[in-house]
Amino acid sequence: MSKELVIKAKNGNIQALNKLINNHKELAFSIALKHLKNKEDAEDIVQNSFIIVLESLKNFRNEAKFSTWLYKIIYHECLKELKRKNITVEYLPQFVEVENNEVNFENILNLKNIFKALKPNEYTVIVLFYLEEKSINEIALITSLSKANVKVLLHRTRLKMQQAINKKNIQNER
Amino acid sequence: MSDKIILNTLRQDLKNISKENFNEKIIHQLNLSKKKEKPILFNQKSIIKGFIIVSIFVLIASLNIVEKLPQQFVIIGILICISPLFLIVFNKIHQTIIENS
Repeated sequence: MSKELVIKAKNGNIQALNKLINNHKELAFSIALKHLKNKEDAEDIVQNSFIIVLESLKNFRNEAKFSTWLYKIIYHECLKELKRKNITVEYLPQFVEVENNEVNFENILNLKNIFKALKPNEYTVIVLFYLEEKSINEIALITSLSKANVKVLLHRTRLKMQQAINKKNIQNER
Repeated sequence: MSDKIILNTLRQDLKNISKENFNEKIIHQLNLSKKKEKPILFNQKSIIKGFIIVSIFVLIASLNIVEKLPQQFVIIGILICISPLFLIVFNKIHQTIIENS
């Protein structure tokens, strides 16, 4: 199905192009918004990234390859934008810090709030893993992190969510 | 914690793009860049490949035929080597003709 979609899109089929964009735009926008914290900037980055990737659509055989490339462009465009605005990018590949896993989640009431509390790179890794079903290898390719770093991030983020859920359960029991 | 819960919540938590005509603008931009692509007679990659192959043939031939080549042959050899590059000139002429028409 995804192969057919890419082939149709390559041939300039507007419906296929629309579907391809619709399949990825929400996740792409969520990742960009998490990084840039500005709706307009995030929308512009996503739009430009789509144009860049769709222009080189002939190089992709299926949607999985297409999406990996798309998210890679978006992720790095976000980092570039942050750099341009002189915002410290603490989550550049070489700086995946191993930090204390204890997080203050006192005010967190549900999982959605946990997602808000996640750092952009943690959010990126978790959405790519769960929603896009990307492998560790692919996430490493997208984020330019090492496989070990991706595993650490994934584990740490899951742990954060687990802690928050446990805390919430304890509060509910009281 | 079940992965299913995370998956569903993540899906619900995705943000929507509010920009009007988001898809249309992308497709419009793509069509514009397609139109901007200049028509060519010969593929650039093939020209470079041709240039390399011809150069190698000329080099091998010159080494095999005579030890000391007269200047005339050297010039002919160079001309043969750069012959695929004339295709780039043909491409340019073709583009100019199309633009003018």
